[in-house]
Amino acid sequence: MSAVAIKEVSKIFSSTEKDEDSVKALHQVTFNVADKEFCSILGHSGCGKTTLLMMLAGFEQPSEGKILVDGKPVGDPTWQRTVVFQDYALFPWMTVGENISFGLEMKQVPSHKCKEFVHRYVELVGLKGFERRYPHQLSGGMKQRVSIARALAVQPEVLLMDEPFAALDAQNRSRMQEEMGRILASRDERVRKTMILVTHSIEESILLSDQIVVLTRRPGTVKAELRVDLPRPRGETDPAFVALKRQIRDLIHDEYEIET
Amino acid sequence: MKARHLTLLAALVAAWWTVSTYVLDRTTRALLPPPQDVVLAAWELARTGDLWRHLRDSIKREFVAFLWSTAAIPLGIAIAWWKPVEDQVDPIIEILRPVPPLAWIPLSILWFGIGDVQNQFIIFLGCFFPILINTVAGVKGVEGNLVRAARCLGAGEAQVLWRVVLRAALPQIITGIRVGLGVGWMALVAAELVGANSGLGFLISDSRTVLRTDYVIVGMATIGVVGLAIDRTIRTIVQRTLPWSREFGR
Repeated sequence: MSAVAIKEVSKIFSSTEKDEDSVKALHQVTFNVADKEFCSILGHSGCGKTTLLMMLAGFEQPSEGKILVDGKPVGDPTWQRTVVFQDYALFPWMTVGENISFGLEMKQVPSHKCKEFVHRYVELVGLKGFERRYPHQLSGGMKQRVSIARALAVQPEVLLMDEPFAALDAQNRSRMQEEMGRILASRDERVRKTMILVTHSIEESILLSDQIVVLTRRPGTVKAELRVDLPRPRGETDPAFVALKRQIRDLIHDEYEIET
Repeated sequence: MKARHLTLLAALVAAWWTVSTYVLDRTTRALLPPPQDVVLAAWELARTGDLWRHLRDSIKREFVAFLWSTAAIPLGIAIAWWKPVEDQVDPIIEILRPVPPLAWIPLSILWFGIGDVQNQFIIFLGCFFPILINTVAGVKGVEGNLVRAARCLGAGEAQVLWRVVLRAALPQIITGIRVGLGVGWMALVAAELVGANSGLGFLISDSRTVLRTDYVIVGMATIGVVGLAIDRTIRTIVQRTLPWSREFGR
């Protein structure tokens, strides 16, 4: 079990002395994510969604409120909640294989097991044969695949993704989204995790999620929570998909412009 | 480097030869011997082994001092990583850094006498600060997300520092080593001019007292060639071992 509960979480970034300089990034955010579900947090840049993700990972502490995973408050960062970053954050001096096994080594998994895991996850993300390449020899899409494999290989309970496809070009992005959707649809046990995705793309969130949380602009607060019960894999031309997209767009229409 | 890039160098050597042979008279020629005399002097110094002895002593001093100055790497990491360390150490460094290594020569001769230890101390000062400054900058420049990624993958503080921060900062640390060895090499020669009984710096100053300008020039040329060789060696090592680094791409 690894349900996530966010309870009345606020985050204020206070600058050194002056009170008026402090920025309220999030205000009283409350929602739950059920075990093994995929939840998207949707909002425009600057609404505090990345801040929320960083707090989920344990890199930041909420100013008010609580974040619980399995009923326990989130503490320091741990492999039980891994993060996929927008800029991939791959270790450039390590090969693809070494990047993926880094977390396993930290967990002191014996080296023959590491190899097995690396093999399984390289296969999952479609990078077989690239184990010995270095990140600088890969395209953006491939780097993000490595990053996803690295985050999954340690068997986290929760996978956190911070706009993982935003830095990719349009073609690569839609391909990655589609592929991610296909992997999720397969209910492959390697990806049966609680997943939280931060994005500003409505389509991406509908393609992938069981649940979508829409945040308002700063200070971010929950505007709406929606269930997505469309069958997987989802097609963007499906009328139900289009209807949902319109619904979300209307929801946030008065909030801000958002990429569709 | 292509052969045609050496045209200007060849012209300068030719000018040197012309001046020395046709412009200077017999007495003043002693101040600037022609190139062929310098080559002969080099051959002579090499054959008698004097050149190698001085070279070996200088390189040994540079190397030992460099080993000591690598202490700048952990210190630099500590400064960049822990704010209280930076707060305490920074003022000291800011005061010491602008003092050129050469300004330490008088005091260091009193402290250590003439010889290896004094020379090594001066070289150490030359190496230390470039390595330190570059290490601090390198560690501070490590992408925050790399550290975050390591943390959420289960790395503890020591593992973050050893496996991520040090590696990520390595290209810049090596830049510091390159600069440091260069500054150290220059400081070495200066230290040997006044505080040694051997070494290339000593060779130069000793030859001057007997007006062997040909030996002086041989010593200077050797210093230049060795300095260049040290720099090129590090670059080559880095290009082989850190292929991922952009810093040494060229």
